[in-house]
Amino acid sequence: MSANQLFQIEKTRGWRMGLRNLLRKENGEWWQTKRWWIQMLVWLVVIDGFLLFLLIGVPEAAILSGQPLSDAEVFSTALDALFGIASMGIGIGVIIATQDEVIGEKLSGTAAWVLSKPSSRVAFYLSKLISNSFSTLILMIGIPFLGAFAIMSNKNPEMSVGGFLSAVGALIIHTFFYLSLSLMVGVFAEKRSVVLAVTMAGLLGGQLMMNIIKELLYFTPFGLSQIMSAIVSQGPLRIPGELWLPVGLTFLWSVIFILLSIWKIRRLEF
Amino acid sequence: MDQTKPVIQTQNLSKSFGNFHALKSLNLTVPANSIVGFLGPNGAGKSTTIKLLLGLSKPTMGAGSIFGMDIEKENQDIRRRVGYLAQNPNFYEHMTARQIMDFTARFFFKGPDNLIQARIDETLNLVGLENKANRPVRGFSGGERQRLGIAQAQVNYPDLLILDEPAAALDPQGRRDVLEVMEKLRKHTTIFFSTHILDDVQRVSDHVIILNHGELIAQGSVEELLSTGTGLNYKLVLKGDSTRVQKHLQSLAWVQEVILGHQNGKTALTIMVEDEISAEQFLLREVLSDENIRVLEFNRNKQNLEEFFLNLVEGA
Repeated sequence: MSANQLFQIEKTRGWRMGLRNLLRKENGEWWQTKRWWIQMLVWLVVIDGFLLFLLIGVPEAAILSGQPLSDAEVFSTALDALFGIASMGIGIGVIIATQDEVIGEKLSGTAAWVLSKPSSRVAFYLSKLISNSFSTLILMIGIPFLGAFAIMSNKNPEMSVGGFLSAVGALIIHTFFYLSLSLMVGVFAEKRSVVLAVTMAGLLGGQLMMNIIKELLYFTPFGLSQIMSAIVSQGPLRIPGELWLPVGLTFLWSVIFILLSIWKIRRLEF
Repeated sequence: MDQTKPVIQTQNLSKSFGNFHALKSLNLTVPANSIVGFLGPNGAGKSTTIKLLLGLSKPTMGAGSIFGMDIEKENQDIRRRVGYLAQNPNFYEHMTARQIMDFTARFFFKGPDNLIQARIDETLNLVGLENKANRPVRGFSGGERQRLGIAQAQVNYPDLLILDEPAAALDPQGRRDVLEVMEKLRKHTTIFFSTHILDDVQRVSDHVIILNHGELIAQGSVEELLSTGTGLNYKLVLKGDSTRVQKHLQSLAWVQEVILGHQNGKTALTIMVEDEISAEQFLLREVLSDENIRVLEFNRNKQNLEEFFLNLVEGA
C-alpha cells in the first residue's frame, strides 16, 4: 500500500471544503455526457425554430387573411412571442432539469455518502447552484439567444443591442428565480412531488394569479416576459422606472432562496 | 496515531426524533487497531449511531469523539481520516466504478494524477473489481456494489473504516468476499462495522458492542463476552460402556456435575467443573484411564455468540 504522504493532500476547509470536486462532478454531468448537445438542440429548436416559424408564417397568414401586417407589427409580435415562449419554456425547462438535483440525492442516499467525505453541506448545495446556473445560462439562453439576436436584427437592423441584451438579462434573472426556487424546495421538501408541484405552481399559477391581482407584476417574476419585450421595443432607458422593480425584486427573491437553502441544508439530518 | 487511546468514544450520546428515543445515553469505546462488530437487531439504533459519529446527524444530548476530536465541532477533520460505507450504498448510477473512485479520491487528494490512478487500481484490485472498473455502476449486482462501497471507503487509507451492514442482503459468496476484504484490511485500519449477522461478527471481530432498543447492553472482546455466564464445562463423546467413567468423574473433587446424553448411538457427557487448570490437566487423562472406552470427541463448551446475543436481547 502506497502511503498517503506521497499525495498532494486536499486541505480546503470550511464551507469551500469539497467544492472544487463537487463542481467538477456537477459540470461533468452537463458537459461530459450527451446532455449538453441535447439541451442545446432542444432550445435552438424551441426558441430559434419557433421564431423563424413566426417571422415567416405570421406575415403569410396575415396576407392570406386579407389583413397584411407591417414589418413593425410583425417584429413586435415576434418579440412578444419570443420572450413569452422563452420565459415560460425555459422556466419549465430549468424546473425539470433541476427538480431532482437535491431531493433525489437526499432520498437515494448519495447526499449522505458525499457528505460523509471531506465536503461541506454548503459546497454540496453551491455546486448544484453554480453548475446548473452556468450550464442553463449557456445552453438554454446564451446560444439560442445569439441565434435569436441574429434573426431579429436581420428583421429589424435598427433594433437596440443594449435593449436586447437588457431583456436577455431580465430573462436570466427570471430563469435564475425558478432555478433557485427549485433547489430550495428540494432542500426543504421530503418528497419529489412537492418540488415539482411548488415550482410549477409558481410558474403556471403565477401567470393566472397576476390576471387577478395586477399588483403582483411589481413584486414577482410573473409579468417579466411582458417587461422584456417592452425593454427591447422601447429601450431600457425609456421604459417606466417602476418596471425595473420586478426585475430587481426577482433577483432579490433568488438571493433570499439561496440564503434560506444554505440555512436549511446546514441543519438537515441525513 | 496513538495506539493506546480509543479510536471512538461516546459519552451519553443520545438521539431522539420527537418522542421516539432512537439512542439512549450511549457510552461506547472502540479500541485502536481492532475489528469491532456493532451488533443489534433491526431498529436498535446502529445506523443512527454511525450517522451521529459522521456528523450526518446531530445528537440530542451527549458527546462523542473520534481520534480525540469532537464529532460535532471537529467533524471536517474527522472525515479526512475516516472511510464510510452506508447501508445499501447508492452511487451515481451513470458513473463507472473508476469514476466513482476518482470522485471519492479527489475529496482527499489534489494529485498527482498518476498516484491517484494507481491508488484507484490498487483499491479496486483489493475488492476484486479490477475487471469491472470501466462499467457503469447501474449494471452492478448487490455484491459488486458492496465491494465498490468498501473500495471507495478505503481509497484514502483511512485510520478508521465505518461500515454499516457491509454484508447484509448479500448471498453467502458475497458475504464471504466482503469478510475476506475486511480481514485483509485488518492490519491497516480500525474497522467498526454494524451488522445483525452474528456469524460475521464471530468470524472477524475482536470486539463486540451490542445495542438493543437504543441502549448499550454489552461491550467487550469476543472472548470476554462468550466466557461470561456459561460456567466451565467440557464435552466428551465416547464409545463403549461409559458407566464406570461417569461414576469416576463424579467422584473427582473439582468436578461439579456430569450430565449423560446420547448422540447417534454414542455417549455424550457434559462435565461441569470448578477448576479450569485441573480440568485441562487431568480430565482427558482420567477418562482415558478406562481402557474399555474410546474417546471420539473432546472439547471445551463455549457459549456461541448467537446464544449470548439472544440471551441478552430477549432478556432485555
